[in-house]
Amino acid sequence: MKNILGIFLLFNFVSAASQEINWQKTSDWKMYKVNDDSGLGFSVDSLRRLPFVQIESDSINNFIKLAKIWPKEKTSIWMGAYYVTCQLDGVIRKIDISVYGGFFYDELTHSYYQIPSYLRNEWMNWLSSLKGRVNKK
Amino acid sequence: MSKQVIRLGFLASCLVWLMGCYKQHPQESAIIDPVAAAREYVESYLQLKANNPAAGTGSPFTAANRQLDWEHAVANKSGGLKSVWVPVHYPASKYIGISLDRHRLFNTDYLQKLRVWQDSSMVFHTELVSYFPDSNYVYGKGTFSGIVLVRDWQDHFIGEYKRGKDGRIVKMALFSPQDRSAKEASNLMMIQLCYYSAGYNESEGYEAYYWDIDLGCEVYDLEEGGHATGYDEAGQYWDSSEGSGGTTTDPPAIPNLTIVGGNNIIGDIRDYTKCFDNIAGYGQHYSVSLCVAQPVPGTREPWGFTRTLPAGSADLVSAGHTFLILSQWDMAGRITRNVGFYPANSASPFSPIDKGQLNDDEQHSYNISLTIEMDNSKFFAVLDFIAHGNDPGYNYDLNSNNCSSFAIRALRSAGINLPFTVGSWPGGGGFNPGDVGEDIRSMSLPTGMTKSTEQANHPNWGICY
Repeated sequence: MKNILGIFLLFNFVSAASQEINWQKTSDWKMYKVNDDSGLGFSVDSLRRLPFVQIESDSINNFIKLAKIWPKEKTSIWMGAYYVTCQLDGVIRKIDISVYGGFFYDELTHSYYQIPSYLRNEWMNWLSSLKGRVNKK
Repeated sequence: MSKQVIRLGFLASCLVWLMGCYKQHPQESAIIDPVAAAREYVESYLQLKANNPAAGTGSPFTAANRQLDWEHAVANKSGGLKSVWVPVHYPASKYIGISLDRHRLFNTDYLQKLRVWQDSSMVFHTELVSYFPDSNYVYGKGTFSGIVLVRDWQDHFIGEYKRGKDGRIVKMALFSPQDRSAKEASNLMMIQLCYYSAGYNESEGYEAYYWDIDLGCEVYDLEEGGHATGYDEAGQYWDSSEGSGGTTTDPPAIPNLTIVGGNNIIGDIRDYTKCFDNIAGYGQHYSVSLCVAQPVPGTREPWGFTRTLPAGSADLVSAGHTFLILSQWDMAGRITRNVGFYPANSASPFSPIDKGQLNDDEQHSYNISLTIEMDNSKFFAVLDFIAHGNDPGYNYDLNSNNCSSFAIRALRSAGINLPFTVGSWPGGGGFNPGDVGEDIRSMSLPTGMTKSTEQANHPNWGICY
């Protein structure tokens, strides 16, 4: 019986983790003031104690609604990141956004997503301007 | 005596005549600095805080929030008249979509300019000019194409024009929705192609709302096989800089209009570094800073591992970063540009090669740096090396041509050969930020080099047109 319960819980965990996020339903986006590399290890609670700027949801949604999820086996090294949180279905999620390449990572589902190449320039520019605002905090 | 009186009288007459000549052209002093003159006029006479012009539409372009960026104002000749173009910004810049180009988003901070000009009677006029590019327009390449919307400061409509990639300009029709449907029903030989820009605003503490901007309609008469509303007198919005003769096929009236935002990804490295002057002597100073963000500060670790998965493997691996800050300065001021080298998409030990991509790293932090002062020839040798970073076929390689290798090679191209450690890691090896940082820390520096473990802000600085 314990085995069946364990398998059931594992199945639920795996299926939840593999679900693509409906980014259009996200809200309350914030970018935090963290040095590029140190924030990868921060928890959501630690992050939320730091200075932040509110991100306009319509602006970020215009980008991330077009993002494509990477296969589970595909990863990338990080050379700096922007750290943001958003809310989805009442849960606060931490999203790490790479300073290059247009990819980002949802820490809750351990999933990588990537902005299409034709939007990447605008995406990076926009993130950079947001970081400039955060740095003034 | 009488001769002396005559001489003195003659000299006095000349002096009076010369002063009279000077006084006959008082307006010359006003056009010496057209930007200053325009600013004085706008700040003295223009009602900067307009009365709620976009109420009800939810438009992001609300007059009450407009800020004029005089620092980046430029003067040129458009429509045969000297004009000053002032970028218009809003406190919270937004990205908006435009139906002319569904594959790009545009920053509202870069879409609007205030045009200030004087007519032949030296009377000032102003227009608020909004540029909505179409999919043919690529920033920095060729002439602007898309829709130009012209309003007064209080947002009263003045005119609207569309310019195709062939340079042809048509005046847009601004029909009400009722008129559009009536025309469509009554004249089947006429087609209207209407454009809009739209978005959805949602900000903390405010009720979310939808907004749109009507960009007008283009009318095609199928019987005549062409536009029903041809127009060719909107040249002032596309005229080139002073001395061009004012042709309508020149670059846009704002040749430096940055349509899609800043320069985080450096699309055109030569344009990005064009402000640097290759001048020997004359009080010019040049330096290149090698900035390092170590994955684990203070150690030679090539990777920083964070967040361990249940299976025991780390899912986020930081490689740190190395980038360059290029500076030129003299008594007149400083020019600074940040450049880093990255993969265009991604890289990992399992997939180490990708197309290379230069990036503006002005927002990137670092924990140790080495600054090298050099002469103009060495500085421009570094620039020449960097200029190849975006070349087709020039690849990023996590092992042999990563961000650290690129920066070190840029310095070596100028004959600056510093000893850096080649590290190794499972599956590969090469220069890396961990080793470069520690190498800098232990270096005995010759004259002209300084190191620092204090990070200062390092924004790009200096603009040229």
